[in-house]
Amino acid sequence: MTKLQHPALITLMAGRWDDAFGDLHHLSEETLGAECAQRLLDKCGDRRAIQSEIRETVDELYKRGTHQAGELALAWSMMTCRPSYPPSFRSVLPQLQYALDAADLSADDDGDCRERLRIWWAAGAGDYVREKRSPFALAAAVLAGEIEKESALVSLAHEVDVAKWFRSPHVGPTLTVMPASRATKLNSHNRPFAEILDKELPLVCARNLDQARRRLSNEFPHASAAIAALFRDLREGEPIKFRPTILVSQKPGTGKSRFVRRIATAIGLQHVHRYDGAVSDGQFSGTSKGWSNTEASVPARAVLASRTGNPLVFIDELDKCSGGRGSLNGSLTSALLPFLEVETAKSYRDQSLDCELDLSMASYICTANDVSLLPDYLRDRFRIVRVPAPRLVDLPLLASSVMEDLAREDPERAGDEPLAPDELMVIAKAWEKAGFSLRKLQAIIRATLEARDAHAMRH
Amino acid sequence: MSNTGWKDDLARDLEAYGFGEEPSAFEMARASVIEHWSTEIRRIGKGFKLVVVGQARRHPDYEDGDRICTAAVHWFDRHARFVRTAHRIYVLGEQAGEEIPEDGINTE
Repeated sequence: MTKLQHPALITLMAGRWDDAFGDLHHLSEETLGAECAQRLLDKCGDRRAIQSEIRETVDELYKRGTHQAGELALAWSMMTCRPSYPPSFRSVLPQLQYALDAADLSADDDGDCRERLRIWWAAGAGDYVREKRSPFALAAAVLAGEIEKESALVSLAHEVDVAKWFRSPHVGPTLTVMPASRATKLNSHNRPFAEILDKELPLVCARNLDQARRRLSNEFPHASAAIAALFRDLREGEPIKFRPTILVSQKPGTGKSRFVRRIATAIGLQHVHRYDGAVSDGQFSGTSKGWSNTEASVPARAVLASRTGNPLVFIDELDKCSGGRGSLNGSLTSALLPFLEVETAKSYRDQSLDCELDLSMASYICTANDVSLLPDYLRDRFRIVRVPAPRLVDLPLLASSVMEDLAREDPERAGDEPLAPDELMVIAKAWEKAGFSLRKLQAIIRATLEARDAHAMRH
Repeated sequence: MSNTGWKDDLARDLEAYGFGEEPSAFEMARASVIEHWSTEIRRIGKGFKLVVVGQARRHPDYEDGDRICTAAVHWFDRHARFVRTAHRIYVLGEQAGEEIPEDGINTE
């Protein structure tokens, strides 16, 4: 074991380019000769000139043909590396790595050198191309924790180890949806559920309720009753659980589906499991394990897909489901029943997974146009909230939220002027004729903006 | 043809390059050439390796023009004339055009 002797490795430990230059100059003064050393000092002020001077020095040193000069040459060539130009590293890194591997260093020195050299390699791989600093300052900054990871080539999303994140325990409320003690062996169709078997799944907590409420009432001024009812179920910082709710409006196109999606994202639920109500069988509660291809119930799949204990299951057009209670294939209305009461949902035996699931925290929100079509056992269990059709007074707020939507779809719309009063008047007249449907309003506003573009002044 | 002494050969060559020597004209003449080459730095576990990818010429195992990727490079010549991997010397031909020349100035 020897001391750190190789000039390139000594240079590697420098914290700044200037320090490295000074030390190296001192080390190589003898070998280089006074004239060459002085020339280096003279050019020191000019970045371009010093780079080419260093390159000449490296050539000069290699020409000497001695071991010591060769080592100095490697050290000097390190001075030409720039993180902003990764190829500048390629004639240094393999040599430097070899020098480090060949050097017989103490464990501490070896560790320090390797740590720094790894940062140099990363710089050579283009991880720090936006850095203006020298690799010496860069290595010092990375070791000090100033730069976490700035990579142009490797995306950060790639680095997130989902499986590891999923293994680590969640801080905050959790729920074991699928306890192993009450589960049976999973068959091949339900293999993915092994991931949540006996796992404490996080419960998504409500956050920014005030802000979400304000934003939603701006966006859906006509749905204030629904907003009030749904927000009554939520407490800031506590797991999200809505009472089963049906949003009803006589006329189609009041923006119910969009409202459900918006409320979910506004309070922090990332995952909404949408289920189309226009079905004629009981597939909602899964198909039996005995069949050749079996599928778990919709809430169980929502839990698996969201990896949370309290997914929001959104059943669109609940009143459109056909098939009475006596139908051979079952029906959505009766399939829904066990999920709605907390008592039964707490220990729901999924017929496909054949294990008892705790689905007590899952929420169900449905939309419908006519609740009188629904059987009374379902109407009892749901809270029914009316979403009236928007009125003419809601137009300015609705129009601006539609404009925001359009801007989100099409970046070119982002800079559009807000609608002028005369434009709003025209829109109002057209909308009144169309029967106050939000879908119509969207089409009208889009047409208005297109007309505006067509008649815009060009210059 | 097996070469069990490759580690000694490699160490000897790297030592020589460290002294400022270059591969002999004979070695350069019989080495494989990589045309349209570019370098890549790849991660292997905690470490890294530099490889050269490009089109092979005069390579004993590949047809001319095949796209190859070298093994880890142990010495990269500072004027980009040759590279030394564990078992071979490659002569570097024309560099692929994607890389911006040093200092951002096209010298040709």
